Amino acid sequence: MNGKRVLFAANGDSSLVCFNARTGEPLYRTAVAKAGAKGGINSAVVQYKDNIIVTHMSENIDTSDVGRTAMFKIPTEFKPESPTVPQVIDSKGLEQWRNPAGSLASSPVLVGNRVYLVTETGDLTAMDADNGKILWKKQLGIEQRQSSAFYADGKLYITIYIAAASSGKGEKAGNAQPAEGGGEGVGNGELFVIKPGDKDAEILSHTVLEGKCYGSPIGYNGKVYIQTEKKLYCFGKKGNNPGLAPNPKPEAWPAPGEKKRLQIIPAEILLNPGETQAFHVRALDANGFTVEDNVDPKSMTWKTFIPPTALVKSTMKAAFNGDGKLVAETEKNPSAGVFEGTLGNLKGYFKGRILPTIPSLQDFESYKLDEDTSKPPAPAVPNTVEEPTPFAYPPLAWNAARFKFEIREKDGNKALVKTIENMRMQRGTVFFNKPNLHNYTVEADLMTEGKKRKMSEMGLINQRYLFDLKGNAQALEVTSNQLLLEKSVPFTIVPNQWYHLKTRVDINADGTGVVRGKAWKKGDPEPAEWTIEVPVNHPNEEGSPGLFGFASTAQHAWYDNIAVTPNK
Amino acid sequence: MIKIKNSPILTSTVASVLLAATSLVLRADDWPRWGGNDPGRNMYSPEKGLPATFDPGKFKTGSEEVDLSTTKNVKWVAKLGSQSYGNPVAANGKVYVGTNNASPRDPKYKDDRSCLYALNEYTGDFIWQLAVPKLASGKVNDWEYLGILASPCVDGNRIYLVTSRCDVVCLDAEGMKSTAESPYKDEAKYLGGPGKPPIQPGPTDGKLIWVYDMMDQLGVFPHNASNCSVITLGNKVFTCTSNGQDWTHVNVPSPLSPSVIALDKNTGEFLAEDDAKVGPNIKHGEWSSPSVGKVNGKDQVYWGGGDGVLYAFDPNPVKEADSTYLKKAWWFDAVPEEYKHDKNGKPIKYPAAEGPSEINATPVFYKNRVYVAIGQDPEHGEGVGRLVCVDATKTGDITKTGLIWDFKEIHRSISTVSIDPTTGLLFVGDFSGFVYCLDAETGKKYWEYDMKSHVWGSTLAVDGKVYCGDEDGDFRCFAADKKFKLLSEVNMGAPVLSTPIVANGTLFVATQTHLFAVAEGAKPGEAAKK
Repeated sequence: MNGKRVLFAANGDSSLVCFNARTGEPLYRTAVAKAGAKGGINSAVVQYKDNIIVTHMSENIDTSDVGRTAMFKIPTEFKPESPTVPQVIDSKGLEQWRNPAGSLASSPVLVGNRVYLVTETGDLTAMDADNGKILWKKQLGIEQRQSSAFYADGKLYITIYIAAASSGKGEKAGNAQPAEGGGEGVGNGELFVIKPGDKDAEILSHTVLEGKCYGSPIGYNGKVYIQTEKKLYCFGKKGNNPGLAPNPKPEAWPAPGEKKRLQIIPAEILLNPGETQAFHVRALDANGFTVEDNVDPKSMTWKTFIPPTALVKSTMKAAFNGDGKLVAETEKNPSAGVFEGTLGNLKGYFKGRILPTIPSLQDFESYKLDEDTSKPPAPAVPNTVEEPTPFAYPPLAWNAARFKFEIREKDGNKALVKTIENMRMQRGTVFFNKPNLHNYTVEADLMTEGKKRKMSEMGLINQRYLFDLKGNAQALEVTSNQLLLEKSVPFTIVPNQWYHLKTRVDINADGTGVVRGKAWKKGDPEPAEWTIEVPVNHPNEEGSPGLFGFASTAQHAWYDNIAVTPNK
Repeated sequence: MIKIKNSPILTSTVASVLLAATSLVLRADDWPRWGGNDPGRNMYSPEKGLPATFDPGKFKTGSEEVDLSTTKNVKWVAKLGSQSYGNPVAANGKVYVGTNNASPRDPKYKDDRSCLYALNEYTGDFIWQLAVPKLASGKVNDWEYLGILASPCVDGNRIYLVTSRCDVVCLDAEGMKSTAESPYKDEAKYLGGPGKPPIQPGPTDGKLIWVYDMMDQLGVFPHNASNCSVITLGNKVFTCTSNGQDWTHVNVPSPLSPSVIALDKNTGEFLAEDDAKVGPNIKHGEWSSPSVGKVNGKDQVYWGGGDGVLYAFDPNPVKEADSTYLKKAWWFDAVPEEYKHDKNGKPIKYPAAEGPSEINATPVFYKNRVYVAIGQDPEHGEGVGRLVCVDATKTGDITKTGLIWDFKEIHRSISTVSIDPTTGLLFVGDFSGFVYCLDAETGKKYWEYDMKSHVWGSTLAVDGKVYCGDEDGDFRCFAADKKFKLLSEVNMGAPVLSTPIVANGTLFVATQTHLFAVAEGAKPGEAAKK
């Protein structure tokens, strides 16, 4: 569109967005429904001529009914505010039509000038794509979830999430049995094959399947494939389909224009001190198309760069060598930042982090508490639920730590604290080294504030296992994927008391493993026995050390003296 | 204060006599809390003369206002927000109903809030609201736009309500018009929200008497929403805490926090917590409302657990080592074995359609029995169910000994039963959209009807009729008879997810966006008084 290769999507904040697919730069956004309800818009959007059709089941902006399908014109010019800030457009100016049919997660399908959509309440609805008029409706069930219609060969293939209990009169595929108790088809999905017409649709067949249907049917080579909760089905004739459509012709891409900027690949890096990184550099035109694919990094000038919007003015401790490669300094403190590469009047950027090798110890003493919680740098939001407190942002090189954790003074020491002023961020998980680390011990001092039944969870992550001290459950718990591994032992946790938690994952010669955690009151001698030992048949083989905090009752949790040491 | 005898057989003649004898505002035909006058929460009213049909009318073109000239048997229509799950109650000449702030009544509230409206019972005019700010944690505890989910409980000139902030509040039934001074001095802070500028209440705001914050006081962690229609008994108010899981749908952040508590209804002071230790076994959330029955001269408080167990508690607090407790009198695990383990003995994982469920419906006490169905949050869809009729006179674990009958054709249900005492017929809906007529004594099925849409609310049995709404917006009236007859169906134009109520000769039906006052022969604009 408009010379660019673009991607359209509807978001979790109920807006329709358009991106440059080559560069990731946002072009425009328009609010289609109120943000926050029903988890945003979960269905895919559909392009019809120069328009985008969006369906949702959220609160509407201009009426109090919930749900709608609407069509919005694509602007003839993209005018983003900047490469990182999209143009915000009022959807009223773009809307071409609307109707009240809505779907939470099932996507519409466009066939010629018809839109077919299965609504939230299970009605297959046919719409005129030019004016949004509803042509006909056919009830297929009483609810539809993610599964979207597939159209081919003049037919719609639609799987309904759960077959309507009264419709269990259809054929049953394979071993599909009605569930015990509440009647036919409870918990089983249903496949409809439908021939849509101008005023109505003909149901050619319906078949009860085993398991609920969240997935959408697809067709290829004369066969229809459907994934349910319990089975993967393939319907059709064996062998090749003489009616198989030829592969579509590759789309012709526009001839690139003048060089306008550089694209540096990789755009984001993670190094240990002393490591080297090579780059592949492209020159792009104004629309993001490649003009020259292999710009020589040696011919470019490189320097650290602080984006004007950066909250923390920090740079990566690294420099380019004569070979045009980046070399991380050997300093042991983590660092992070952006680099700018220049060639003539062309510029490009990448960002990176440098994390220390192990053994490592973080006691936060080297951080200056220069920030004030009541007056953080714009655009950060002031903390209005606590007294003004000096703090420092956590190491920028730590993944996902900022705003969920910060460094403060505690009893004469500096320590990391789980923040509580933004309860949308009450849970935080931070990884602070490379994901391929293994066979190490990570340990730390941990403390929660609060009182009985009002404490925060605090823990450490070792090789993809979470060791969690849960004050509200009075337990030490080990989980990985919670549905596959969840073991805990009773452990007394008292508020405002430091505990030391030590963790390791040992892999045996036969490939099985043991996940070990030990916790004790700080100041007491280290117990000889592990507090919890969990044998696992298929241990995780690697994973970055990390930490975890969950302030479910808005209490601070503290972390200090975080040490990672290789196991002998 | 005169206690109106809690008998469903109370006639309007007796009520009028009582009314004449006292200057109290409470009338016998009020519907002052979820379940009406019956503390057993039977979705039944003894009133008569209600219409079998009505026409909700059409919107004026391009607006969300109903053109009353297109309605039939409708007294008035009041605009609610965009989502209204909370059930109305009617008392003191007012209708109190929960909704959200999508159609703001007061320009000083522009944001998403959970609102309890007080409307004039005869005209639908707006009088006051409590506009509760949302919790800062967002969806995980207080999902956007859901509004007030619970029914208020009116007791004299006081209203008790669980808000979407997981607090129990006590309000003056007259709102700010009441001249009585309130001991609660922080209303401006409450309306503003923590860390936000205070909002001074005005003449159309509710008047808070006390606030008990269950998250702050007990560490409770509500799952997505807080919902319980509280009940008062003597000087106490009983409520479920809405304790539940977090986003993981595996972890219960506060497993040692209680599920049911009693507060002093005059001061909001904590009196007792349940001793059932449900926390670690909560399957998802806890949203069942308590009911009350008298067995062998003793009161019991019934409640359906997030663990699928039906509990009866002794309402008299007992002090033990670390707290004061409501002791279990009896309990009944309502999940049958075949929903817990498959044919090979393997546990069936929650929330599989063929697996176990918790109890979200309200247990109904009727003639020394308790009736309740198992079910789940609508987000988990349809599945197998069970309606049980349990003997309330036994003690201890009565899972093996207390069942009088069960009905397993019912699917998952979050609906509360209606039992018509004049016929002994029981009516109940399920989430798959079926309405059943059973014999309350034996569980024998007389008929079932497929509404072809999810039923979120409950049936109401009154005047030989049974009313029920559904997610498609269809509202149907059946004959309350063992012989099936559909008397009428209308489409209300928006989903009907709450339950109709009857008060003073009027049927109140709420959709997600509008509240209708329906009466036989009603003409809009007449402020009809009984």
